[in-house]
Amino acid sequence: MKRNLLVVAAALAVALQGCSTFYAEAEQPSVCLTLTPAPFSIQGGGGIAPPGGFSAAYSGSIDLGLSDVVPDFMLNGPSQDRILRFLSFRATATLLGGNFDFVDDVQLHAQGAPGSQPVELGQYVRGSRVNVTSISFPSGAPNVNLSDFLASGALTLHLAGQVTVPGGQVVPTTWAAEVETCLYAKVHKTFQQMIDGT
Amino acid sequence: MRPSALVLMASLAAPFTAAAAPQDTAPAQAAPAPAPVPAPVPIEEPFPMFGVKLAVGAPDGAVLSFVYSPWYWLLLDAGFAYTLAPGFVLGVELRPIDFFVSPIIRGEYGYYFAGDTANQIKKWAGVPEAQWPLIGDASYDWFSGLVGIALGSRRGFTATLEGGIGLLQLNVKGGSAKINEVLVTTAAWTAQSLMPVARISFLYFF
Repeated sequence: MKRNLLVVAAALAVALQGCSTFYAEAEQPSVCLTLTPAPFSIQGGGGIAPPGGFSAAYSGSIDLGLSDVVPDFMLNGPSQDRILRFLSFRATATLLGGNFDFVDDVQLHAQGAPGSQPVELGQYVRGSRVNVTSISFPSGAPNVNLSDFLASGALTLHLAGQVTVPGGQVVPTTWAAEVETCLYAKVHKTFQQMIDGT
Repeated sequence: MRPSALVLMASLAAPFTAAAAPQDTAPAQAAPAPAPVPAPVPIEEPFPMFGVKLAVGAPDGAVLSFVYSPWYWLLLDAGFAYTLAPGFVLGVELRPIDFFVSPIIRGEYGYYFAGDTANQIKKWAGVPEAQWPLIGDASYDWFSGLVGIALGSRRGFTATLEGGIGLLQLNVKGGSAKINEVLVTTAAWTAQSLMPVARISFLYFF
């Protein structure tokens, strides 16, 4: 009788151990989000640039709206088991014939819940290039896991930088672009986590 | 006295001589004996080499296989399978004991083509309908190792019960959809699972 109990206990132990060993994981190498044209406010914009030119900071935020797309299992469990990485950013001129020659640089940050520390994802410097119709750059922080930002609320991209407008030209109050950002996602769950709902 | 002693000795020896005589003389006198008939040796019927197998399991689904067995302890099978989509399963099986009850060690590979798998994933996973275009055609394949027992005759019908571990990979094509004014485009993606596997099968050799 004791031996039978031992066999049953051993089988249960193996089964329970199996639930921690067995797993399911999914990997999405690239999911790209093309957002509606986003405006970025230019401080002091509006009017004509003075003869020496006009230079000012700009900024704007983009809500990726991922909370409607990402399934719940990306938001629960240990953060090392749910990975969301930023891959690339691209902003394209919305106006035909428009260009981004007035954008000197772009710093892209990820922002989670209000009050959380932003993380820099990448940056762009125009340099001496002219007739720039598209701004794109890869991730400067390939190891940053954005899933915790999502879990804490919403994931927002924050753009900031400097614009320079030559003297005599119109300084807009905003500049806009169609933004595409690409992400990498991976989630890993053991059977035990699935049973527990974590 | 000496002759009488000789007579006595001769009379004592006579029975032995008489007993031995037939042996010494028999071959010369008997008719030729028929050739000895060897005891009948049972002719061992060779193990059948071909069979058919019907299996039901997870993730196999239902599989109808043709089996080839070059040796009694080795079975190779290839079969048509169907779960959410048509596919095929290839297997190698060892049955080291030729007995009514035999242990089994089995390895198999299965592949299922894109069929209704993607639609079932969308339903089972509760994917919102707006996101369905993001999940394209899906196929899956797996490797598994199983152990089990077979009951029955290796020369006829056997039923087997097996369990083990499998590594399954789901390959899903991407797609694009507009969700809340955001155009979402997904690349092809994969899902993988290390999981328990089990199957019941019925094999008939002919």
